[in-house]
Amino acid sequence: MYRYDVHDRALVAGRVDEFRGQVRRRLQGELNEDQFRPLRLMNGVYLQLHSYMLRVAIPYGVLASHQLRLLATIAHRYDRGLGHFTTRQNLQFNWIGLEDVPDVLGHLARVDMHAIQTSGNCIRNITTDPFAGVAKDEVEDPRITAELLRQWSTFHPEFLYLPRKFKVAVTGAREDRAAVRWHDIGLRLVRDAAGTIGYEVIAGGGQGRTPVIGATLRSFLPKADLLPYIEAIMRLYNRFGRRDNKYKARIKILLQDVGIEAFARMVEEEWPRVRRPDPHLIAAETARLVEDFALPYRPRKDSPVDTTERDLAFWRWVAANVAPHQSADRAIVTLPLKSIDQGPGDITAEKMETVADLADRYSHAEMRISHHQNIVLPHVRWTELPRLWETLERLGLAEPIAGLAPDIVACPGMDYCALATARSIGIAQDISKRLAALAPPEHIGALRLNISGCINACGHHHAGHIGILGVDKRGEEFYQITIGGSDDYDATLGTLIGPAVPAARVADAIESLVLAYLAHRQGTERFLETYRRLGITPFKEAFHAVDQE
Amino acid sequence: MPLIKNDRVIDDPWLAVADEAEIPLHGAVLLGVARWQAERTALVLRNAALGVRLDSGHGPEDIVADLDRLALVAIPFPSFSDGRPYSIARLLRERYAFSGELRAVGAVLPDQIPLMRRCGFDSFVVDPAIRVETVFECLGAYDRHHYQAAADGVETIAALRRRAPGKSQTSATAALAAELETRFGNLPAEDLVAQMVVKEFKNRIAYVSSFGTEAAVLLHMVALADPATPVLFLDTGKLFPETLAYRDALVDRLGLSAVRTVTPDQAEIAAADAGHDLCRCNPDLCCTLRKVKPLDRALTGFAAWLNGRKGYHGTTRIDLSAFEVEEDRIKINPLRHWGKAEVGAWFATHHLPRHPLEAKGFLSIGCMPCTDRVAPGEDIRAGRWRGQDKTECGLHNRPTGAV
Ligand code: SF4
Ligand code: SF4
Repeated sequence: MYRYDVHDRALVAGRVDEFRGQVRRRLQGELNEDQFRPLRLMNGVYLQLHSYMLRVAIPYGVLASHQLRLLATIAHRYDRGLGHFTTRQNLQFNWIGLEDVPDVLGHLARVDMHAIQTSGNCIRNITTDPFAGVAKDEVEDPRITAELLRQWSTFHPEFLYLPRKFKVAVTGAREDRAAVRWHDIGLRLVRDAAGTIGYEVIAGGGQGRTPVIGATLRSFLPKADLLPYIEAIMRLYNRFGRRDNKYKARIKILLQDVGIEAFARMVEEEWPRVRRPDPHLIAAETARLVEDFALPYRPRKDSPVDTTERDLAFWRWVAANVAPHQSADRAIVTLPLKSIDQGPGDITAEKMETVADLADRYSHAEMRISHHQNIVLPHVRWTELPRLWETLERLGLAEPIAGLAPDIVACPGMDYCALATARSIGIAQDISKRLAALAPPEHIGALRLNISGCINACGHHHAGHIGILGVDKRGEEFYQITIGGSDDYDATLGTLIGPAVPAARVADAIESLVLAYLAHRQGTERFLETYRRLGITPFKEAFHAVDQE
Repeated sequence: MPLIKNDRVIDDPWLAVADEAEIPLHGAVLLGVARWQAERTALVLRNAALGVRLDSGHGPEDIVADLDRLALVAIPFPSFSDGRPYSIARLLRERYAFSGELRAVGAVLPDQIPLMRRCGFDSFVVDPAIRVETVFECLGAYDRHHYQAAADGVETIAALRRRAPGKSQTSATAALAAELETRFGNLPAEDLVAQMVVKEFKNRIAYVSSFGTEAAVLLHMVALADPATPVLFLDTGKLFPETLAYRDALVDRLGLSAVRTVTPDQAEIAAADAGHDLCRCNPDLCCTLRKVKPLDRALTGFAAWLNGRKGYHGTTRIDLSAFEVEEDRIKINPLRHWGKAEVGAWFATHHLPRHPLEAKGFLSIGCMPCTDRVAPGEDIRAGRWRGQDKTECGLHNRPTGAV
C-alpha cells in the first residue's frame, strides 16, 4: 500500500495543529458556527443528530492492520466502541466530542491517517475497486491513479470551496466494482486500439435527489494528460457550477444545463492551457507508486491441488465470498459486515481488533473496505482458506452472502443522521430476516438491495437492483421501492414500482418482487437480467398484489 | 477594515469609490468592474493608479485586455464557502501574468488566507472583529508542504521527494525498524520473509546462513519468496565437510541462485592464527576474524539481512523483536517465535533434507573445533564452545539498537 514519507507526514501533522487551534477558537467563542463550519468540514467533522460525527478517510479503501487497530482504540476511548464503514470506503465515528477531535486526529496522524476532505464541498476521498491490484480482470492497478489524484486533490488551494461536494472513482477492471458511472468524475482504465493504456473519462454521474448516470466526456485520454484534464474540469465547475441552490449545485446539473458535448468542448479548450506538472516528477512519482502497490510476494501460475473432503458450508462460503486472484495460489476473501443485529457497515472495536489479527495472519496485514460496506482480505492463500473459514465462522464473519440479497447497502438513516426521514437499518434487518426464511441467498442469486433514509441517497438506492427510499408522509415513515437500478458499467436508474408502502409492509413488498423473479427466471439468469428481459410489468403485478392485501 | 499585506497590517492607500460616487481627481482609486468598463476611456486618461474590483459574476476575461493598466485587482468573496475567487486569482496570475496587487475582500477567514496566497492573492482585508494575532497565528501555522503547484511557485512535495532526505541515517534506520515492527511484526514467518524480500527491501536484502541443522527452514522461505535473493554463507575454514556437502544439496534442491561464500581475510588469519590454535586460546578473536568481520564486509551495500535466530535456542535469546538495528542496517528475525515443533513440522511438510550430522547427535552445528554433541535433553546449544563461558559466536551479541 501507499507509504507516507516525511513530506506526507509533515503535511498531515501541520493540519492537525491547525485544526487544534481552530477548535480552541470555536470553543472560546472566537469563531462562530458560520465561520467554523467550512473549517470543520475540511477536517471531516459533521454536526449530526446526537453529537459531532468524525469521518476518517480510508484512501481508496486500503487499510493496514495497524491502522485498524488504532481505529479500534479510538472507538474505545472516544466513541461508544463502534465504527461505521460508509459506502465511500471511509469510516465514521458517530459519538465524538468536538473537544476530543484534535487528539483523535493526532492519533490518526501517527498511523498516517486523517479526516481531511471527508466532508464539505471539496474533492472527497477517491474511491476504487476493493479488489484493486489483485483482481484477475484488471487492465492496470487503479490505486496508482487514485493516489496521484489523492495527492493532487489534497488541499488543492483552488478547489476546496466548490459549489458542492465532488466524488471521484477509478476502476481498472473489466467488471465495475467502483460504480464509476455514479460519480461526479468516473475514470476507467482502458486500452486503445494500439494497446496503450489510458482513461475513459465519465462525468456528471451522481445520486441524491436528481439521480443521473454519468456520460462519457472523452473515450480515451492519454495517461500523461490526466491531471491537466481533471484540473480543467474542476476549474470550469468551480467557476460556472451553480451556487444559488444547493440541490442544483452538483456538476451533473451544470452538465445538463450546458449540454455534455458543449461541456466536453469547453474542457478541450481549457485543458491544454492548464499548467502541466513536470513530467519527470510525475514519472518519478508514478514509479514510486508502482513499487508501493506491488504485490508483497511473487504471483504464481500454478494453483495447489487440494483433494481433502470439505463441508458443504465451506463451499457455499467459497462460492459467495471468495473471488479469483491474480496469483493462482491466492484468493480474495470478503468478510460481510451485515449481521442481523447490526447496521450494514457497523463494526465494534473488538471486531476491528480481531479482523486486524486475521489480516496479519492471512493477508499480509492488508485489508480493503468495499463500497458495499464489507471488509476484504486481498491476499489469502488457497491452502489457508479452510482454516480462515473456520475462524470466520466462529466470529460470525463467514455469512456466505457477498453480492447476494442479504448483502444490503444502507445509510445510517434515522438512527444517526439528522437529515433522515426514515430508518434504514431496521428495514435492512426486516428484509434480511424475511428473505432468509424464503430461500438460501445463493438460490436467489446476485441481487443488490440498497436503502437510503432520505432523498439524499447515501444508501445509493437509485443504483440498487431493488432500491428503497425512506420518505415522510404526514409524519409517518413510508418507503418508495424502485427496481432495475445498477452500478455496473451499464449503469441504470431504478424505476419506481408503485406507491410508497409503510415500514411494516416493506419486507412483504420485497418478498413479492423476489418471488416474481424466482417464478420467471430462465436458467441461471440473475434478478437484473430477468427484469431487463421482461420489463417491469410482472414485478408491478406482484407488488400490487401485496399492496392490495 | 484591517488590510494585510506582506505579513503586516497596513493603512489602505486605495480609495474605494462606490458606483454612484464621484471619482476624485487625484489619488489611487478602486472601482467596480462595471464602472470601469463603462467609463474606461475617461479613466485611462486619469493620471493615477487604478484598481478594479472584479465583482461576483465577472471573470478575468472582463479585464485581461487592460491588465497592464491596473495596479490592483480586488476580488470579493461572497461567502466563506464561495470558491470562485481562487480560480479567478490563479488565472490572473498564471495564465494572464498579472503582476499587480491581487486583493481578497469580502468574506475572508484568516484560516483561508494561506490558500488564497497559494492562488496568487497578496493582500487581504479581514473582518475587524477578527483579532490580528489570530491572523498571524494562521499565517504562521501553515507550513510549506504542498502536493500541487499553484500560483505561489512553492516547490511541490514531489519535487522535495527527489532531493536527498536531510535526516541523519541512523535515526532514519531506527525509525524505519520501529515502523516495520508496527506494520509487519505480526506477520507469519513465511509472509514476513516474502514481504521483505519481494517488496520492502527488494534487491537490498540478504540472508546470512551457516547451513546448520535448522537453516533449511529460512532458506526454503527465502527460495519461495525469490530464489535469486543473495544468501551469504559464512565459511570459517573450520567447518565440517558434511556442512559443505549439505549446503550444496540444499542449494540444489531449493534452486537458490545467488549463494555467496564469505571467507575470512587470509592475511588476517595468517597473522593472528599462525599456530592454528586461536579457536582454543582466544575463541572470541577467532570468531571475530572468521565470522564477524567477514560478515560485515559481505553485508556492505545491503540495507537489511534476514537471520534464523529463534526464541527457544537458549536462555539468552528469548525476547526478540522482528526488526532490530545493527550497524545502521536492519536485522530481521522471522523465526523469533518458532520452537522445535514448528521447525520439525516445516521440515516434514516440505520434505526438506536434514543436516547429515544431526543424526549423529549434533543439534547445533558450527565449526569443527568448537562443536560437540549434545546429550538428549540438553540445551541444543550446549555443544557449542563446551567447557567455556562463550555461548554466542559474536554475530548476535554485539551492542544493538533493538527496537
Ligand atoms: S440518505 Fe439521508 S438519511 Fe441516509 S445518511 Fe444520507 S442524508 Fe442521512
Ligand atoms: S566457532 Fe570456533 S573455530 Fe569457528 S570461528 Fe569461532 S572460535 Fe573459531
